[in-house]
Amino acid sequence: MSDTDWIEIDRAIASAAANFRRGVEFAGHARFRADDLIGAALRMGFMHAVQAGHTSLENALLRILDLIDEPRPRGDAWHADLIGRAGQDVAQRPAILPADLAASADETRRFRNRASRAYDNFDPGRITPTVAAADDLARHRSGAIARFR
Amino acid sequence: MPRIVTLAERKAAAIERKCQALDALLPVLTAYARAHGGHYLLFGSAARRTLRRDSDIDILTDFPEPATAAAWNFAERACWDRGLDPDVMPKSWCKADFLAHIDADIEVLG
Repeated sequence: MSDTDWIEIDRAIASAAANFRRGVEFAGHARFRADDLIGAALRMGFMHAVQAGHTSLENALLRILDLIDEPRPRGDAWHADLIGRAGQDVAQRPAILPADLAASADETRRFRNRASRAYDNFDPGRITPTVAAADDLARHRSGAIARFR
Repeated sequence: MPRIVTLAERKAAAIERKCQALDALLPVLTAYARAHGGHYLLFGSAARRTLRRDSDIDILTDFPEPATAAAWNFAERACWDRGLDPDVMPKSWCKADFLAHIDADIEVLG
């Protein structure tokens, strides 16, 4: 694989990490749960950042599959299948993500599915697993992809 | 010329397929919940049995925290496998006013 093959993948990885990192910053802000405009903006920012981060992560993983001529997952479950496959050794390639990072990515996938349907019926102050997953992905994902590369 | 299937007939058939898929889904979710020490809470049009062609299947997971992710994944997969569109969330994430709003519709599985 040439370096040019990785330009878009690296961009997507950087975007994902930046968005996950920003989401964690929003969630850690002192006014994240405040019942005012700033609190609402922080919560909206968190939800959007995690959704954007996961979408960039998916883009990176799909581009990696394309690069190694592995068919993209299809069907209604493709988002979940993509993460599941990235976390597994399959024929002629090792796992793209270690199992713990794949679990974090599955958490942000579930969160995105939920947040994309409704913003106002869940309490962002209670979603600590998603915050932890975003933090995990922001900190460790670039290194994991680099090891795969 | 073969008989034309009207849009109304297509819609009715799609709803019927969705209702049958829901009937097949519920025992699967119930069995999983019983085996894993939790419950699924069905609500919305699925619980009221008023599914439309574009209805998703609204489900809350109510499991011990360590089992929540797996229960969530199981419910999603069980829906997708039956051609249903899942909308799943842990009960513990819900705002109190949202839970109060859906309370009358909730069907407990497990």
